[in-house]
Amino acid sequence: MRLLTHNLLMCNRKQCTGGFPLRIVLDTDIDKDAQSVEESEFRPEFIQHLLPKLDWEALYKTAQELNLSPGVPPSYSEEDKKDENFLRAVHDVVMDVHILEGKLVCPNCNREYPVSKGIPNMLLTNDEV
Amino acid sequence: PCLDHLSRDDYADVYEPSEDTFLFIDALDKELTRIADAKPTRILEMGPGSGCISVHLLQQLQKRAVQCLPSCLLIDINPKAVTAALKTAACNGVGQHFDGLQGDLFRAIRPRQTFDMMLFNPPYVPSPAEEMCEGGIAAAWAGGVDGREVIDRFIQQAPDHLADGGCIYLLSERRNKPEEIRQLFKQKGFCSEEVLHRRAQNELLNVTRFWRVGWGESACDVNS
Repeated sequence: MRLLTHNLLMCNRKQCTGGFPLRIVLDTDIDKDAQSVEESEFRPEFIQHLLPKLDWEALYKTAQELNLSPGVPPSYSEEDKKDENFLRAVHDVVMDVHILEGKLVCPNCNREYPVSKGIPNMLLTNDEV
Repeated sequence: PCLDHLSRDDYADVYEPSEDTFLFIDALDKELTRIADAKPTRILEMGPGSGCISVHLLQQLQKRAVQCLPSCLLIDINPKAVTAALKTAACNGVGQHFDGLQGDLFRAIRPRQTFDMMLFNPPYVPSPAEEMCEGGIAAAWAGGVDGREVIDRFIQQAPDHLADGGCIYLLSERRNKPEEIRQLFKQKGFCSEEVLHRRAQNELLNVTRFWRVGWGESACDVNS
């Protein structure tokens, strides 16, 4: 799962509201790669289209929690949108970082959504829908 | 797309491309110029199964040397389908544009998070309720009463996640009462146009494009 996708997700239990952004807890089992970086083609135009769709506060917070370096700044300006270095930093964070093993934890109700082989399981049990 | 990475065993858990899949692919081919011109940034394929439909679309856009290929999110209730579809994307050279998650339609997606285009080849076969709850491969085709249960939930949820100027491609079959589907979308403020239909054995399949009233199409008469 890319952070681009993570940025879209929230806790969806009926008992919970405002469960966003989900906290990423990586599986620290040493036999597994919990996180990977896969370089993909950098397309500035694509990132420019994407920017208004991102919840920036959530992205910044998640990048901080994952200690992504250099990561993304706490906010950006109109000028930044044309700055290739800025766009590159966004690309690296939202497109190239993959969460492979671990869980997504709701900041509100602590519901855990497992992530296995890069695929988060957002399904609920019958009493949660 | 090439599906050599999927074996007979995989098709026990993941829907094998069939007439409906091929019709969807042909419909997208017919729409390719329109899609390329619309320059979607984010595409959602709901219930991708093996992933053929969106992977094919990305390959075609790539062949046309579209500069800015969209990113595609796959949502399926069956984790094996998500795995298979992501593999299909990787094996066909477009893996870097795909991401996937296991979920029930739009439930896990935050409100107002939008996609520029949605593709949905739904479970459309009329079936008893028990089959809908079986999970696994049955979820790929079992559509409940009139084959409409998942389609109707999709119609309720999808408009909130469609970007302005975006469109939805949805497949349905005669027994799903396509006219009713178009009416339901119309109540949500959508126009529609059939892209392609085809008879396949006892089924009469169609792929229809839906878009919001007021977004560039003159042929839409909302009052009719």
